[in-house]
Amino acid sequence: MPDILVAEQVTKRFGGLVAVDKVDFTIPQGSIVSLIGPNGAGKTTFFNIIAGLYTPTGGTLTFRGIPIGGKRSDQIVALGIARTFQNIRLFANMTALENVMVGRHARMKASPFEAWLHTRRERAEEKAAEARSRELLDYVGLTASAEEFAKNLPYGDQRRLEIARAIATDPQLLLLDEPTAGMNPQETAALTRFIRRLRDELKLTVLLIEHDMSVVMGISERVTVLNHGAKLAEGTPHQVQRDPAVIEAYLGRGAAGTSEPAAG
Amino acid sequence: MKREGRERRLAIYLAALIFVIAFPFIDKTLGLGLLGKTIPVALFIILALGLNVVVGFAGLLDLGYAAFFAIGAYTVGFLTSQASKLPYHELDFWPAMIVAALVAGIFGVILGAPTLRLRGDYLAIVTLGFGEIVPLVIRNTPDVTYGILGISPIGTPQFALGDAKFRFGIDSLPWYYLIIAIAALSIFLTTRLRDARIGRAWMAMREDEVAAASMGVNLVTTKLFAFSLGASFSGFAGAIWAGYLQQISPEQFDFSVSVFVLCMIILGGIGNIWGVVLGGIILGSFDRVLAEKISGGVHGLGDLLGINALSTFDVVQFKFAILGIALVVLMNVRPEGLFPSRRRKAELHAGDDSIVEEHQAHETLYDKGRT
Repeated sequence: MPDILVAEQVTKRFGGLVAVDKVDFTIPQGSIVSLIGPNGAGKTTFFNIIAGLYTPTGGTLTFRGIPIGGKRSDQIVALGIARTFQNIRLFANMTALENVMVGRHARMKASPFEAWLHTRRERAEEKAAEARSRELLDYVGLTASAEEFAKNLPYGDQRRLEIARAIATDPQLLLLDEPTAGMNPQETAALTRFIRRLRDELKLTVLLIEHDMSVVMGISERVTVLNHGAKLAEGTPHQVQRDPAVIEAYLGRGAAGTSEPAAG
Repeated sequence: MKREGRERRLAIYLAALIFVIAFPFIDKTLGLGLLGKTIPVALFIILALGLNVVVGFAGLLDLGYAAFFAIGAYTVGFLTSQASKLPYHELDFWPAMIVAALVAGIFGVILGAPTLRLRGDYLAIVTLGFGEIVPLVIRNTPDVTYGILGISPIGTPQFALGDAKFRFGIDSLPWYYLIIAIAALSIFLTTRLRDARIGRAWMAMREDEVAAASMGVNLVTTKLFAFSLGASFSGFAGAIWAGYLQQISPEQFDFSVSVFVLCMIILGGIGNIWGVVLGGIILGSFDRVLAEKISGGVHGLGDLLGINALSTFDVVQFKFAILGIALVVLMNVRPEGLFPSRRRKAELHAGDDSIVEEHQAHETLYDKGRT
């Protein structure tokens, strides 16, 4: 499989702080890749660089051969990268359906003038967007909550709604930032299965930031470990799990070589 | 049930439309003499609808909205007045009105562009500054604008119907219909946008800019469009105001106008188009008509009861104080405004239900403990 995303020597500095330090990183198409590391390791910063929130200070970033470093978020979505947020960022006072319909924004074309004239194309587009959004709500199991305000949904449903909204942008690469944060073991297991389904059924490539090692080890084909902004280790879950450097980063010196790393 | 609702809504619209069209005749027959006073009220409605796009839909707090009103009015002044210092002037009113809306829209972009990165309080301060600068510039460039003297007279619209030529003059009737038509058009245009792709993008941006951008909303164009559309509504209103009043001067466009229009949309129900229209009617007519009427009523009451303080109490003089108190009360009792959108209501009453539930749960527990 070719690599859908290639990062070379990507660096991000905030003043004197180097949040991401010369990271080389690739994501093979159709895979589930995880990014792990202790708190403050630079995972989310790296994520935000890919998603267009930050401009990298150095290095290059290409998506399907197109350089994306420094592009705006909306341009990156249009190219086919969608994301969710670590702390859920839904449009709280919009309904679940409206939330997903906003996700269709990048794939719609109607200008305000067409909206004023209610042209046939505009009406067809609106109708199609609503139909597709309802379909996605069905897909994530929120059919009954379409007209509910996002903020009134239970936590787990909000997480799923955020994923539905991201899929609505027709991405090829889906970035999930700690999707199981705050979930109980049953919910976590269900979401893990769901992520695998996304990859298998929708042919998505998934990049995951995750703290829950059972999720990471269960579904990722490859794991990359960041520490202090730099890449510490990379490999299959099995390899990474036994890497003394990783164990040391998580548990401190002395723990290395004695046992496997616990949930981070 | 949906159909019934739609029919009922249509009936209400139709009744309102008939009333609005028939109002001049009702006014004449009953000898109310209110027609002239409805014109500023209707203008306020157009202003409120425009500001609602910026503040209500897109969530950009604009405190300098009157500046665009001034820009629209002065554009028409420059283009149509005999007194204008432009080399090419005495243009017909209609093209001048369109140009005024366009110029105001362009100024909307000019104000919007440098403030794109600002939000909330910071944006409010910059727009406030802009709202102060525009009248100041007008005041201090008498070579172009005649400063505080203002520009007068201003060209009036005219149109030919067959052989007959109509000229808008002192008679309020044609102005009334013109303004009503533009207000209706404004309602139509903003409603269509609210329910379209751009309306959802505005809403999403108001809720969470970062998330909106991550869903493909181009923040730059979406914000600028809101700014310039709102501004061009204001420019339209300014153009008509200038033509109707025949005299424009900087003090007509000071900060209090911006605040007054903002109060209308807050009182009516920010984000809700019909709420905003009603807010405009309520505050506009309070300002222009009701305060006087109430004053008369209070005087009558004072005379009747022999209370001297009431007989001499001038409501008009205290109208802003009354308005202020009314707003404070309203914001405490009904922060979402009189006629809120479902969304805004949900936003401002978040957790009310859960508090009730918690309270009930607590009660049940307590009751159980007793039995």
